[in-house]
Amino acid sequence: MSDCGSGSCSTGSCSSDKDRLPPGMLSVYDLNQQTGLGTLVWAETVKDENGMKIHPAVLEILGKIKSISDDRVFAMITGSVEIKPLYKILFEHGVDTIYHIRDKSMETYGPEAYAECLADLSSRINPMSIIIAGTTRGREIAPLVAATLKTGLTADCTELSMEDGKLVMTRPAFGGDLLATIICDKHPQMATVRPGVFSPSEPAEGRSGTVISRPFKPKILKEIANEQKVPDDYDISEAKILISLGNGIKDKSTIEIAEYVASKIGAKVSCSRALAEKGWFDRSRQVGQSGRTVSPDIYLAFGISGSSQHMAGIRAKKIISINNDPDAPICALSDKCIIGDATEILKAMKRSLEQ
Amino acid sequence: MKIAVMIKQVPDSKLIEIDENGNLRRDGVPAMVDPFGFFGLRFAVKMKELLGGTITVITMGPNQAVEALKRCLEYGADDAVLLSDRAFAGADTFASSRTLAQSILDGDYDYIVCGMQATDGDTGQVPAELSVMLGFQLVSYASDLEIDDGKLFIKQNYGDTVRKVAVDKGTVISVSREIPGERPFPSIREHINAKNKPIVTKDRVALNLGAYSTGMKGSFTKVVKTATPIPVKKQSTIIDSSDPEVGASELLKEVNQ
Repeated sequence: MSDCGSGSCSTGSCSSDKDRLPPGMLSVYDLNQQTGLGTLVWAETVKDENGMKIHPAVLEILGKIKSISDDRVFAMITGSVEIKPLYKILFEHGVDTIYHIRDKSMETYGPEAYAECLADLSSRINPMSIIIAGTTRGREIAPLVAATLKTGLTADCTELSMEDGKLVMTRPAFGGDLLATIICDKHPQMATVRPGVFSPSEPAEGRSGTVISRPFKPKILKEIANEQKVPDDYDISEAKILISLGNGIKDKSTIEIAEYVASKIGAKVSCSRALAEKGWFDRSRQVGQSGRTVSPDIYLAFGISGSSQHMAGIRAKKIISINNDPDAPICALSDKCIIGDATEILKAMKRSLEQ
Repeated sequence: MKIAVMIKQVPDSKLIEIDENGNLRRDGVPAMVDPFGFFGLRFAVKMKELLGGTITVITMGPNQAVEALKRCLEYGADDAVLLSDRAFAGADTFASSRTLAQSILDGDYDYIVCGMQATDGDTGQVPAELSVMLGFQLVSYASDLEIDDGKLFIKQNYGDTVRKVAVDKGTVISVSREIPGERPFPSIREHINAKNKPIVTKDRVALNLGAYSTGMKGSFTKVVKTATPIPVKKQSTIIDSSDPEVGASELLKEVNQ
């Protein structure tokens, strides 16, 4: 650790604020002078029955980067020859240069190795920002990279913009009661982005770029005793129709009715924070700032009052609320508001679907 | 073997206040132990049962964070360290990690256990940043542990994958869910014993940290604005459904379109 990482240093060389330089140090040593442009992303891949694909959250951030900046976009991808077909997808979504890391040891995910590689690429490319999709793995790697590069990192951003070369990041704080807008004094500026918030751009047919095959030997490798795939957590973020239950549902058996209706109409069942906290649902089913962001075509809110935290997680084309209180905040926020007993209406839906 | 558990004292969410710099006001706010930090403590207690050793809880916060530490002493920690200084206020994750890392280096711990994230900041970045600053291995999303042939293995849950990794001294463990088994309830004896367990308070100078290494001055990120999310109002059609059938048929019509 050469500069400020060792703890006791107070040279302030990490600051752009001249008043913070210690006596004797000339402002000419401005280490923050921007020398690089462009954005580095980690192209996380997932394996499904059709082979490898780019994680959808990566395409979302590529869409957002394209809309806020014209600079180059660099992507790091790991894997064997089987990921070659993915080059095209990355190019079409706005990547200019792909660094394909070809090393056997990098084919298994290890946070330290991947972070080391990203940090190494960053020192080479010197990008203005590093943006990483806020998936479970992305949120593990990003802080490792930030601490290695000794720069700031804003987690779980729900809005990004560019102002005079500064990345302006907005994120929910305190379970979504507040939105904080954050900037970073140092380069590269780093952010993780909440999945499901931005939409991927339309692929530009025939767009192409450079691929650099890069060898890389990680220093730290994990000793993995065994690894097994488990069925994905029930994924509410991809559902076209969501039946969402809230605190207005007083009887736990209503969940079964909702599941039945959902299976008949091709929907999935989600919940508000209140029911996740009661333990009726797993956290992965919770919609809202402290849960998932969802973008269904139709969001059916049963017995949900509509707190700002809950509503911030909904990017639905249409919201229909079912609530017995016409004054509940959700009524003014939905396209259609059905005033009645949520449980009874679900039961009536089940009855008519059974016929 | 020495285990350090990082906990956070979080304000009661109904009483949050924001100071003029857009940071959370933590002094004078009734506090509790962050739930994820508590999962971390339970994980450490299980480690201690299996491997022996001592547990130190460390927190950074205002003086009343002592209350959160006392809770932890009742639940199985052996001693506690409070890092408290005006100069620590307004720290981002980098500055917080640096302060915590310094206190860990002082105590020469073998394992660091953290909650995956705190419920107030929700960033989940401190465990990873700590691991880099300490040169430790990082094991995230830990959900359970076991000893096999004298070696410690930790189960990690990545949502789509579960893996078991071998763990040695020099590891930061971030715990994502409570270990299985019944949550212990401290007995009266433990309650009384806890009062005799030591709590050490350290400030910036005691940690040998420079004035530009902690708090707002040591942070790279700055909060420039805070706002309450404003929902978009819509022109909504209101349908009265005192008869459940009316609402049901309306909804089925909608989803079949």
